[in-house]
Amino acid sequence: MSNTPPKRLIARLDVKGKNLIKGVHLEGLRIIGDPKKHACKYYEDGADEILYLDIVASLYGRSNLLEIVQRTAQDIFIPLTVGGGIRNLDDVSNLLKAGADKVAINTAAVKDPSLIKAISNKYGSQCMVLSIEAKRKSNNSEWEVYTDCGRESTDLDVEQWACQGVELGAGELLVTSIDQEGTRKGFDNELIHRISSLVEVPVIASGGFGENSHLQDIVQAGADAVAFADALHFAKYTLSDLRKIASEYSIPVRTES
Amino acid sequence: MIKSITIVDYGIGNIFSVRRSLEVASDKPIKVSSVAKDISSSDFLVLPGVGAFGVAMQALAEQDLIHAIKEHVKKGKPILGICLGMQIFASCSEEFGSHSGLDIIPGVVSKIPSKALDEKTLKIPYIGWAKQQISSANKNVSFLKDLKEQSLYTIHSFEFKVQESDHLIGHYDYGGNKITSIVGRDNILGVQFHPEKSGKLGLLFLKKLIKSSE
Repeated sequence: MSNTPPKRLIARLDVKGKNLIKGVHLEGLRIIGDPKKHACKYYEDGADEILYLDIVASLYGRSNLLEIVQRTAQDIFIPLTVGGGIRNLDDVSNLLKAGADKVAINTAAVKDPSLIKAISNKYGSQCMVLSIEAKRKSNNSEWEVYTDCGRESTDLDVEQWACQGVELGAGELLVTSIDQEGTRKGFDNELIHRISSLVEVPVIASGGFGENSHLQDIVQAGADAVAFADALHFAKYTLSDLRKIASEYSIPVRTES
Repeated sequence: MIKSITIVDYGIGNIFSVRRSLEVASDKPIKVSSVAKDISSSDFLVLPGVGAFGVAMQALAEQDLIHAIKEHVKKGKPILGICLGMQIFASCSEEFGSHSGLDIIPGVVSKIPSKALDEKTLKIPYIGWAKQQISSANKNVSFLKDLKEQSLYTIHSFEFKVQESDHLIGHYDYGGNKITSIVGRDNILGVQFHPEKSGKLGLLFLKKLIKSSE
């Protein structure tokens, strides 16, 4: 008997313009290469999902992602979640037509929470991923919601926002710790533990993976899925390394045969 | 003889990936159509779908496709339903009110149990690579047995509870609950998982299914 699906290992690709990039604390960006080339490699290596996030789209009010999504969906046959610069139902419709399976929304949902409801009503809650960028407050025991890729603070409390988002119809939460992102010092386990105990939808943990034990820590904290970025992009780990680590810690993951 | 495969386009869900996966899995021409005549005269029909049951049935009704799909089934030609496309094979659904389905496999679509047998809360939607168990091999498609213990990408909050047990071909375990994963009878096969999103195993499933339907 299993009370959770196998934990998903997700390859996260942050995109700026036409390039795959990677930063630290969502800043200090470094160009890595062609997003599609990397996505295809991760697919071949056995990633459970691909996550594309256009990290400057909300700043410039446009998205370069459509073309990249279209090219990628031609050749990968695993779920593709896309976020960045999505403002309305038309944006969602265009991305789904281009081959995306789910959309991740942060900034536009904070500005207008009813967008969450509109998307889940029209396309189903399984399509609506609420992306939350969380930063610890100075009291160190609460988190604040940030938008525009960690650039703008909002005064929103992360736990309250997570609950509100799920009530409005979000079928999944992508939670990125700005404090841990790109540091390789481990995930914000406490953050994921708090949110995962509050909501009854799956939670994807993002930001901080650097060594084997971090995977066990975040799964124990309650993550249903784990996103990996620079560990993969800089070829420090492959997907099969991650699968091996999971099995060493007896974490249930998909077995490919 | 299957000359071509027709995907029913009724404005629900991601046709792009279904089409691409069929192009890769098969050398048959892949057609996408929302025209009743194409659908009732198709050699092999694929009914995709993501979203809400009522919305899907309404879309089929508005485009006058319900009768065409049933005609196709009556002729004994193969049909594959994927995810919501499989659930609408049912007689009716309890998702957001009560809705009639295509009624080609008797049963009801209802919410996945939110509690495990040990009373712990289960997360819904179920999102992940569900390990398949094959409950019945009544259907004359032997390759379905190969799916046993294999993980396929599954995402849903509602499931198809079939009325007749021999229409249940596969399931997966969620907190001790048997969740319906594969249904079928005669020329009809429905899968809750997404073969077009289940990596190489999903493509292999499509390939074998098309071959076995020849």
